[in-house]
Amino acid sequence: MKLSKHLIWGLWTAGFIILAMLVVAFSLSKGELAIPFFKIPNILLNGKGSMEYTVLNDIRLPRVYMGLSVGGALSLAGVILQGIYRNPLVEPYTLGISGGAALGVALIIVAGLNLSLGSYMLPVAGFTGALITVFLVYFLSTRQGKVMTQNMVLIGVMISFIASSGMMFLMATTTNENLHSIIFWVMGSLDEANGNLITISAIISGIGLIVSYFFIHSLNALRLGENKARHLGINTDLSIKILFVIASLLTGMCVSVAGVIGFVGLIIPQVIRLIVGSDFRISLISSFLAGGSFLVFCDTIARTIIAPNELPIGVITGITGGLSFIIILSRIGYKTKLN
Amino acid sequence: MPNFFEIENLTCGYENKFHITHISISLSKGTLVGIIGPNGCGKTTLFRGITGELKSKTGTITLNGKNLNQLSFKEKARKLAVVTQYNDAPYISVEDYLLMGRIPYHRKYQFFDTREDYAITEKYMALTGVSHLKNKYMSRLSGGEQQLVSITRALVQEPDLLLLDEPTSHLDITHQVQVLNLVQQLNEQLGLTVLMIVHDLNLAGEYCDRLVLMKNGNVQNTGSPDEVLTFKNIENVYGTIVVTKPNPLSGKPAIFLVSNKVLKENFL
Repeated sequence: MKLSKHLIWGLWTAGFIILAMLVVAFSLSKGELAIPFFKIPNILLNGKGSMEYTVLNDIRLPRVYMGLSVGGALSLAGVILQGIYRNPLVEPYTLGISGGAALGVALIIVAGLNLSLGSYMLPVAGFTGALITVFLVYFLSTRQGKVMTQNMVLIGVMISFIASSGMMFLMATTTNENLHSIIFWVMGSLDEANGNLITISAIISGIGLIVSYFFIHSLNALRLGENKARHLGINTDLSIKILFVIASLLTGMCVSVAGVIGFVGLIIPQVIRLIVGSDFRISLISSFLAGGSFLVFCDTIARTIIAPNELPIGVITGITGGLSFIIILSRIGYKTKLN
Repeated sequence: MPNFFEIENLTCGYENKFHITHISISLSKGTLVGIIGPNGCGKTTLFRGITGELKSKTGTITLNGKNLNQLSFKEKARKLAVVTQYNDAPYISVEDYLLMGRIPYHRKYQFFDTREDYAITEKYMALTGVSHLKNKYMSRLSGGEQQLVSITRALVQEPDLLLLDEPTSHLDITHQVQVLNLVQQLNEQLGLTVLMIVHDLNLAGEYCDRLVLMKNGNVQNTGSPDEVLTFKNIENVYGTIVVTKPNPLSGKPAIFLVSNKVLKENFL
């Protein structure tokens, strides 16, 4: 009896790893140049110099890495935030993080600093904007060292509105060229030319996953509410603060390298909870893997469906994510599962 | 030599208002003690002061020789288990819910539930008679069943002191009696010290060894139910005229409310 729960967790984890591998293989083989699944390992190992190798190594693999780390990080941030706020509608962008990041980027574009100071400027601006928002939300909702979690959501939503108003102001007053750059950035894309940024995102999301596992019992106990978690010996104030910072850094990282990609952080955690249950010991890793797979899959669709043109990835995540969520919801019955 | 559980001169409350002032309560091991008093007299504030949710302004709380304020969160959760009044039951199976009672005993980086955790959970499920609910989900249980499971979870924490905040509120009489019989049984079988807030004075008188009657953030009376539940004390604290009479079977004090009309007919 007792092995069974842990065994099931192991099976789920293995299943999600296999899913991720399948999606990666699918993504690598699809595109203008179709490459059969089974040839991919051989090309990557021995095919240096061939056209297939160049396409795989320089174009498709970086996007797969980006998809896995951004998708994983976004849905990990979503699980954590939904856990600490005990609110299934909270997602990484609810707390104003994307608004702050987008405003930061828009400011830089309008000031023309991205042209004079180089390509690193945009992600740095996005990350700075995200951090400033996070600290604002955090300090405005902290009273006497205690985080008022419900206030936090409200303040986040408000800051989000303020930031988007600021951005609309910038967009309305700037040149057409700048407007185009801003819109292009906000729509989000996994197309990242800078190899260092890809490595940094992969490392940050990996570290985020590991660190959040140190707070696994806090997350589990918080399912019962802050008071009961405290009665179970959890230092809830400290755990919530650290988890909030982890989720914010992950989101800030995602927004700054990939723009605003909605739905992943909202829907993947919920679908995963419906599938594997609410125990965070399994839902963290499952959400991470499923989020990565989902984003890689959506990106593949986005870049192939109207080839040679590319759709914004947010279009695909919204449509596929939203539709599959509605289907799962009506099949399983949402209320009973989430309550 | 301090008693098993000793609250000395405790003052605490919200922000700058003090809801309870200079409270001292002393419990010996293995007693079942009820806290009674009108709404807003500070019963729940007292509980929050004990659990540390509210920082105390003055006073010390010692349990089994240890000062509670000096214990870590984890150590405290091994000594003190709380069953709160309000339960919004999560979608978690009863077994997983009970296993969370072992969290205070987890080693620093323990990830999985151990054989011992499962064994202890099984043991207390059998003791409280909720084994058959094991695979059901908390949110699917009735209010009475949820309360029994919550008490079981508190036992899984293997505490020295069990705090119950109105364990019978919102329950029908079948479940009220079922829950309190269980509390009494645990008190007697395990020698568990219990401090519970009770709203219903009759239940308080019937089940508790000792009662603490509170008024305006202070302790008004303490003693056996016979000493505390007198019509004078009740009129003084609640401002309500009642009739008390021993329960014909148990001999414990029972309280009868009287309508204004009857009072007028008899006393005017």
